Amino acid sequence: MASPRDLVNRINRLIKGIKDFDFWGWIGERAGLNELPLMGVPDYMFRLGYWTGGMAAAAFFWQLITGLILLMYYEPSNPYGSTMDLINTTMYGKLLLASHLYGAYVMIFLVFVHMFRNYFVGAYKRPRELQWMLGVIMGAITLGIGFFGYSLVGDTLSVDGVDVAKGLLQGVPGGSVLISIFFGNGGELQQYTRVLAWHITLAGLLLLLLMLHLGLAEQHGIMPSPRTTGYRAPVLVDRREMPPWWPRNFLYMVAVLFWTWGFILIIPSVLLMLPPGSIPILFSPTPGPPPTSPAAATIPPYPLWFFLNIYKIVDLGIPAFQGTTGAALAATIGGGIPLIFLFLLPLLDRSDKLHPLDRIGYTIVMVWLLVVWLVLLSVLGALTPGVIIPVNIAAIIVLPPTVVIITGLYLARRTWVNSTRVGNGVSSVKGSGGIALREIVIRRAYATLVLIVLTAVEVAILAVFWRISMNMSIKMEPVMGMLVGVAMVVFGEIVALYRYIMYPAPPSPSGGVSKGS
Amino acid sequence: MSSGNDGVDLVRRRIIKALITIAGMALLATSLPPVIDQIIPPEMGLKAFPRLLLVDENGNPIKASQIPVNTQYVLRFYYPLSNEPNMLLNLGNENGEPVEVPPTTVVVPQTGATYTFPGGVGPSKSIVAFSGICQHLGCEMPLISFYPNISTCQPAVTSVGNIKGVIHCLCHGSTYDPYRGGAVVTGPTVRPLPAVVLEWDPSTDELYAVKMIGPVIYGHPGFDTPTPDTVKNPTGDLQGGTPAGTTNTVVSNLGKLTQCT
Repeated sequence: MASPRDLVNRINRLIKGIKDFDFWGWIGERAGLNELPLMGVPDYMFRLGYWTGGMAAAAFFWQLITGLILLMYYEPSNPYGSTMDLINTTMYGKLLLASHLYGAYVMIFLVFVHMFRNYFVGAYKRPRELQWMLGVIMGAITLGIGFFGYSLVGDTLSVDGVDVAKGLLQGVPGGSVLISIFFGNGGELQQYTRVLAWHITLAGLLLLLLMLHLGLAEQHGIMPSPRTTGYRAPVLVDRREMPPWWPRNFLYMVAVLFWTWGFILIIPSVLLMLPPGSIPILFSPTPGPPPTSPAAATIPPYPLWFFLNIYKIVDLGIPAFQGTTGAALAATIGGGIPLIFLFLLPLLDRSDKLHPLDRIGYTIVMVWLLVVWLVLLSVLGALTPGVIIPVNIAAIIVLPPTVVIITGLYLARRTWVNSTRVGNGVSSVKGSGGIALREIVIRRAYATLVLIVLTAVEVAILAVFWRISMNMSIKMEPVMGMLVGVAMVVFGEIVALYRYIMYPAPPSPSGGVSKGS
Repeated sequence: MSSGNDGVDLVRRRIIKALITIAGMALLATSLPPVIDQIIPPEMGLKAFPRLLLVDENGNPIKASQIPVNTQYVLRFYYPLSNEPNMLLNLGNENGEPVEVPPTTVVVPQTGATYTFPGGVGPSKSIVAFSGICQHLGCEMPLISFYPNISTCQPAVTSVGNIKGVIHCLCHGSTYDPYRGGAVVTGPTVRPLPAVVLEWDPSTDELYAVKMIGPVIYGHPGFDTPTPDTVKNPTGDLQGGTPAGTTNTVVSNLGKLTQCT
């Protein structure tokens, strides 16, 4: 028989055991998180510039989740009707659809950011050529998913888009077979069923390719700053020097995920709060009128905004671009050649030079693609829908910026070459100045304060959210979307601060960046 | 760091961990309810029983006098929702003459509740319609079907012997009497078969479905708890599906009964 004293001792031990129990430590040990075969990154890489791919992937995951919920409501036999029913009768249906649309927009935008960022740091060079080429294919698939997704709605722009795509395919050899593959052999139900199947199939394919893309990233490690090798490829990391992936990378990944998701919710929520009709149809968060309604005639025949440039190229008044075959030719030249160039870039530019001004020819092409092909032609497409631009006018619009880009970049290169000659070859590696231990302590104290405030904000948002949901009406949807979006951004910040406080960069005398050289 | 610092650090670490847990919980409690609301489909049911004209597959109204007596065909129409099939019958005797179905009081064995079946309609008051979903475990027509009272049809094999002129379910052997408002003949069912209340317009010979009477149709809200009120006005039939139609509902002829030659 245990005496009361023994019992008290035993209870005390139990309480102490519970108090000392480290839940995350237990999970970490049992799941072997410290031994995960994933590579960590140096501290200077915890900046969004190094996480453009992570942000694009976060947007993709948002699309997967919202897309699967939308799949529960979409009826290929009644595309426009089921879409409008979702908006008008399902709780948070409008927010669901608008955030799926804007999730796609954000994802496509981030994919472009990711690609140009990786061009300028030279991430396509040895040994990361395969990863770049796979990325270009994934970018093209992303645009394809966007096209099929948009074609599902069945509003006037979506029907126009499918009609134009069919028209363009008609001009390609074997086009009618392609049309039947993508859109079926006629009949609305068959078309929408196929478009839905392609939308989901391509998304699944993208998910598989993303795993491959991530696997390749893991093989060579995230590309360190090109400064570490004096702007010469290959830029590699020393696996043994890398800190563990868990939990630093995991925490930052969660932060990036919620930041991205938060903005994907906030943007359409704000747009939904604006008075209807105040948003240009190109950026409307809700579907337009059906093609059968008289209002359809008042809507300019826009494509999706990320096809505006190709749309304009097809509308150039070049004789070779006229007629059905001409339109297909224009789309092939305007879309296909840049795509092939991007795909082949690592095979074309095989030098070990990493500074963008050191590979000036390719940099000129890439800046031109960004400024003229992507931005200028898209703006032109948005401003002059359906207007044929004569060749001489097109030249006046396109040539001056082209000249400015070429001369400007050459001048920049000359200045840069002169400065590096003075500075003994390549630009010298500047130590960012090590942070003293004392300063780290002060920064962590500030970070802790902000973390406390943000946690209070998070709880306050929760309270407001539940107060509103007491008498929720469909009109309050955008407000609720805004609240959840802000809550996600705040939580992302909390996780990032947590990582900053708990896993601080070591106070090294040489600073973070200049490990090599 | 010195061991003294570690103690302070441990407390601070715990507080920060607690804060991030609170924040995570708050985010979960804010972002999950909309997701749950999104996956709950909106209620598409009806507020009241609609009055639907029975039409054939070409949209022409069904003529009451042309429904064969001792109906040997599976005539199916959905009412009031599109997942609630019903069978349309013209009851007759062994000689092939229509039989008038008088109003009857039907008892629900499960609870003892009663309701009045209004009787047959049509020129001979012999046309009736019953739910095509068995009240026992939900088997649907043609597994549950009518066994006409004529020599060219096989009888239903039930626990009380072979009988004709009944509605019988092959799944578990429940038997109902269409001549007496769908009352239970043999178990295992403990509830009568719900009936569609029909209206016949003598001037046009057209038929309308106007409401249901009896237990709620199997699988719809409240079907297994028939009360004296719900059996007289089974509004549960209006929930859990989309309306069968706005002005009419199609009667499909699915072919001859396999028990008839």
